Amino acid sequence: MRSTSVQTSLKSDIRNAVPKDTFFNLVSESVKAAGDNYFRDFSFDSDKVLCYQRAEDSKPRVCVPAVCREAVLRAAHGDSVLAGHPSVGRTSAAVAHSYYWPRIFANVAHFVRSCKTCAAAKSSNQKRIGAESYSAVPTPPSTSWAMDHLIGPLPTTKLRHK
Amino acid sequence: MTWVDLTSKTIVAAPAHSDKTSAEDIAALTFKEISCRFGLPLTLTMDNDVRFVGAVWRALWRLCCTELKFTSSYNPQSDPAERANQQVLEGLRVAVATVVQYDEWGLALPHTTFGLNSHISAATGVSPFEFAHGSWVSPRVPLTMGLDDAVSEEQPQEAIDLAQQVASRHFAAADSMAAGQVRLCRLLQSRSTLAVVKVGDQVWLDSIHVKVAVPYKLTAQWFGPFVVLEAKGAQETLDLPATFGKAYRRVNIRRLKFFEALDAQFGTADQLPRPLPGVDGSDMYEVSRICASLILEG
Repeated sequence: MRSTSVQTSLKSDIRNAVPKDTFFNLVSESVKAAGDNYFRDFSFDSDKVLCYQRAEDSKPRVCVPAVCREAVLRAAHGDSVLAGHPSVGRTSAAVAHSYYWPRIFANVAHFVRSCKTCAAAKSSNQKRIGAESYSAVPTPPSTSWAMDHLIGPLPTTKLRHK
Repeated sequence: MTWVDLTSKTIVAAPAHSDKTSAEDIAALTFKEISCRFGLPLTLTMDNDVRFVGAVWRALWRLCCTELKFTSSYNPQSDPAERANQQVLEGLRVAVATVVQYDEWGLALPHTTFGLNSHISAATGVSPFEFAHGSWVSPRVPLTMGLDDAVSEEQPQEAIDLAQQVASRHFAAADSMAAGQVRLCRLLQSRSTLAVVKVGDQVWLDSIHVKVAVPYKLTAQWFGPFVVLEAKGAQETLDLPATFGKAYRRVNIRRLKFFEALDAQFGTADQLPRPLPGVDGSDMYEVSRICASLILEG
C-alpha cells in the first residue's frame, strides 16, 4: 500500500465516483472554477484524479469518495496476504500515506476493530469485561449445599470405587 | 463426589461406584450423604454437567422442593465445590504419598475430609465443625473437653450462654462471609471493566476451556461471534452451535468480549464533513495540524 503509484482500476473507480460524492463533488467543482481560496490544498493530477496536498506534504494524496473507501481499506488491511491484518495505527499510517478523505482515522479504526479475522485470532491485553455480582450469604447452616465431581479419573479401588 | 455446605463450609466427600454414575445414582448418593445426615437442602448449587441438566435430576429435586442453582462452567468464584475438590484432591495426594496405596485412596477419604473440616475456614473465621456443632473438634484436643460443665443440671445459665455463643458465632460468621464477598468483588472489579451484556448482543467467546481438534498453539483466541440468548448478571447464555456441547452454553461474562460489527452505512454515508469553527467565527476545513500529528504517531 505504500507504493507511490495507485492501482489503475481503483484509480479509475475513484475518478468516476468523485462527481457522485457530495463533499468531493463540491470540492472538484470549486477547484475547476478556480474561484476561491477555500479549497486551495486540492488539485487534479495528470490522470484527472482529485488530489489533496498541503504545503508541508511531500506528495499529493488521492481523495477517496465514500463508495470506494471500503475497497481501499480492504486492500490495506486484509484482502492481500501481504497486508497481513496490521493494527489500527499501522493500517492508518499506510492508508494515510497515499489516500485522503475526511475522518479517515476514525474510519480506519472502526474498520480494523470490526475485522472478524483480527478479533478471533489476536490476543487482547485489555481488561476483561465483568459485572457486579454478590452471592447472597445463607443464614442457617446445612441448608444450602454445592456439589461437584472430583476432578478425575482416579484409579479404581479394590471396592470398585472411582 | 464432593459436597460443600455454603454456610459452614463443611466438606462431604464420597467415592462413586465405578459403574454407577448416572443421574439417579448421584441422586441416591446425595440423599445418603447429605439428606440423611443434614436434612433436605433448601438450595443445591452445581455446574452444567450433562447429568445435572437432565430432566430426571431436575424432576427429583423438584419433588423434594429443593431449589437448583446452576453456575457457569469454569467459574470457581460461584461454585465452592470446585474449590473443595482441589482441597480434597490435595489431601488425597498427601495421603497416597504417605499412608495408603494408590488403589486404596477411598480409605483415606474420610480422614481427609475430617482434617479439612476441623481446620479454620478463611471465609467464616471458624472451622466447619465448630460452626455446625458449636464445639471445636480437632485430633489434638480431647473430644470430651467441656463435657463436665455441660452435664451439671444446676447451671442452666451456662446452657443459655452456650446457646447465645452459638448464635453469635453464626452472626459473626455471616458477617465474615459478607466481608469476604465484598473483598472478592473489589478484587474482581479491579481486574475487569464493568459492562452490561444485553440479550441479542453479539460477543466473542474466549477459546480457552473449549476443546477443538486444531493444535493448541494455532487455535483461534476467540470463537464467534455468538448471539446472547439470556443475560443474567455475570452469567450469560450464548447461542452456541451443537459442536460446543450443551454444558458450555452458560458462560461467565469474563470469558466474553464484545463484537463490533462494521457499520451498515459504511461507504454509503455520504455527507459534508462538519467544519471546524475558525478564529474569526467562519467555517474552517483546515485540519492540517491534527492530521500531521496523527500521521507522525501512526
